[in-house]
Amino acid sequence: MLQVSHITKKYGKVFACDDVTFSLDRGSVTVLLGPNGAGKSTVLKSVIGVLRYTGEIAIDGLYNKSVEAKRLFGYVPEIPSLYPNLTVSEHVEFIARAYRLKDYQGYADELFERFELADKKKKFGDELSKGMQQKLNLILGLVTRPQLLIMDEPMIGLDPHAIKELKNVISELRAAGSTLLVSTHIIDSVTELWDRALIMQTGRIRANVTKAELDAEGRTLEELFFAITEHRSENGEVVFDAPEGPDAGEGAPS
Amino acid sequence: MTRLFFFYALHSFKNQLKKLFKTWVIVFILACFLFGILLGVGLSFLGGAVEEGIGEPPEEVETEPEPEDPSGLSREEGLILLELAVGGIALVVLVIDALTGDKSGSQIFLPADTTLLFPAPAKPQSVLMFRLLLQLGAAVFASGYMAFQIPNIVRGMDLPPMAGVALFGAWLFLLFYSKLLGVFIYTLASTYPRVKKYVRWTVYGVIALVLFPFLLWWKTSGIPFEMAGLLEAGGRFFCTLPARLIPVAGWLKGLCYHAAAGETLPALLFLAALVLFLPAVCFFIWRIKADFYEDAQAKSEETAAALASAAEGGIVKRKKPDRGDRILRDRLPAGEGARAYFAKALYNRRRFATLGFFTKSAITYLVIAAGAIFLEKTVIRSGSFLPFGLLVSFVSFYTSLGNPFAEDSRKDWFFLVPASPLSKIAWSLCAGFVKNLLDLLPAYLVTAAALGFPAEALVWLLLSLGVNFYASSVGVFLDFAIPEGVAKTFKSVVTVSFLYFGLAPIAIPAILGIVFEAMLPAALGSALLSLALGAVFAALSAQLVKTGRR
Repeated sequence: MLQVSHITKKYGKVFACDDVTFSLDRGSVTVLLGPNGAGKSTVLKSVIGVLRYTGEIAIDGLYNKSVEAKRLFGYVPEIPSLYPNLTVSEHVEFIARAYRLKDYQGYADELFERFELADKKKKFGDELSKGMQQKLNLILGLVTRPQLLIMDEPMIGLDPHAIKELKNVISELRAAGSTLLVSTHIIDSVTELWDRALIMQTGRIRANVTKAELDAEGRTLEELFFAITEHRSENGEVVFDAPEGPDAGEGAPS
Repeated sequence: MTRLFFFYALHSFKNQLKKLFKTWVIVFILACFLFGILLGVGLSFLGGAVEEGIGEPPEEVETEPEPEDPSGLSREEGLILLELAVGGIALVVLVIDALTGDKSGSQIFLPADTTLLFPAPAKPQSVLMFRLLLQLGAAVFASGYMAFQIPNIVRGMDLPPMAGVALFGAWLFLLFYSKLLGVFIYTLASTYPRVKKYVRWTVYGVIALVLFPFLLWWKTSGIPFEMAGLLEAGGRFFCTLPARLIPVAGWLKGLCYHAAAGETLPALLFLAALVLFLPAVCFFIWRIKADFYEDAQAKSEETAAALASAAEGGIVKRKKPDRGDRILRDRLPAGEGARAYFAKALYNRRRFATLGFFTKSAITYLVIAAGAIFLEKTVIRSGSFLPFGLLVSFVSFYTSLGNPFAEDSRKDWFFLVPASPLSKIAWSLCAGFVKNLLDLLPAYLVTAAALGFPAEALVWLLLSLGVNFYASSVGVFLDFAIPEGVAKTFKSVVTVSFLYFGLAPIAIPAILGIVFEAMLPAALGSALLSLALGAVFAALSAQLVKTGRR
């Protein structure tokens, strides 16, 4: 569903992501983990086509910046951003028009109910609390029924009920054959959801592992994460058992 | 995209009106309207009474082909002056938009566009056009109130009604084209970053291409090379058919000139050129292979994330020290309580200014001073400080529009700092005042040294500071008073109303000064009034801080 090949993104001389390669299977949930500043958001923003990068990204074989590819994916940003002068329901209508959706109202109403925004439909974007803004951004990402859903730290700011609903939605989407790429640095929030995990640090993918592979090793995702992110030498260099670079994760790290 | 555009435009407009109606701002706007109506009716009544008193003018007067102009200009001179003014304004507006296009272009998008619209299935050009058209619509709306001035312009300048409409139309076209020029430069510069560094020099080149041939021609034309000859020289050089054929600026001149002269057909031809060129420019911009999404993103946030990544992981180490290493990073030198804002503002000025003193504003004023000295010694020869003082006060006023300490006041801790609201506002505004004084001082000193008139210089300096203080205070007041969700266009309309209504009393001494030929006391009076009015708005702002954020 998603093929990312050797993408590199630099800000001046700083590599925000460096030679990142991975691919996602249809109907799977992939979590993108990493400490703050690891380059997770940069990878996601490259995938949705709002950054310039070197390398190639294809969504279902289509160039990710093409209009055709954009019809296939939805995006939930890390920092919720809404139009201050559109109401909650007008935001949904706006997205429906932008994506040329026809029968969206029923699904939108269902999402409003599930995320407890049904009584906030007349509120303006700037009248919502941060948590509610995040919920609306989730709804806007979901209402298009995307084949590929990309979520950047979607649990931040959500109340426990909304987190539970989001996890349910993720499971339902996976069951329906959608592909999900979820970035987070809170490992607990995705423990029971993931099929594949990509662990990033310092702009590179340090591990690319499936749940089955990790289970076979008898290790938890948290153990692997800390093994990678905390395993440093005295001078601060990261020390890996696994080989570095884009090929690092094609199998499980040892 | 078209349906999306109309949906967004309609709903956001309607919702902003709703929001405004919930605030006191609407009361102010209605009061302005009421004031305008009362003033208009009152003046008409007075005018009628005066005419009745004088009696009906003899019919011969009405049929005179060339009525005497009170300004002393002949009709042809008046037309030339009008055309020169239109050309000058067009040039200034277009140059400013060309120079700031790269920056203002990136501001065309709202933060929500980057997360909702950029990933949507639409071409970047369509997204750009979506925002551009909305901005143009907002510009038309914001200029709407100028339409009420058409009868005044027609009557005051003794022009045919068509000319009033043409002037208004020319203003709208100028807004459109300047916005398009800015967006064109932005699209080009963000897609081809190498273009960026040539934009500024190209614009300077175009200005030089206009000015130097004119000055050379004027010097050799036999027309006196001084203020008195400027109108004749300008008219003979710029008010010609070839000059009117220059795209946009020339067409605007042509439209206004021919409309004012009552020549319908040529005016319509220039209007047609302006109308037809508009979609052509839009189409041209739409055809540029645009890739500006990244620039429109919150750049600082991205860079900060990347730098944080580097800091944490140490992937890349900077080899060369940048300017950041030379910036002062020691602790604030002084200031406790509300005075901390004053100390911080001045410390930051020193921190970021060239040689610890020359800010961009100070350098701009110095450039203006150099230009004013040159013009005074070669062309104007007014023998006074007035041209420089007036120009710098004008610039000082316009550059200080808005809240100068917004970065502080928009944070909650501005409300939390345990000091009285008035002292927080006062010290913050005081910092702006002192910063402005430091910016203006070198330019005033240089000009006073070159031209003389030290006493006059002092008065004009006070006026420059006064209008700056007044504009800043109004900016602060409106920043606290208008809800944050209200769009910039609405804010601008309200700000402009406030500023110009407030300027009315400040202008009274200036008008008296012109009438009684005593500009110096007039400038002093205006300066003191600006400071007083500024203080009133500062006190009102303090009251708003006391009541808390809206």
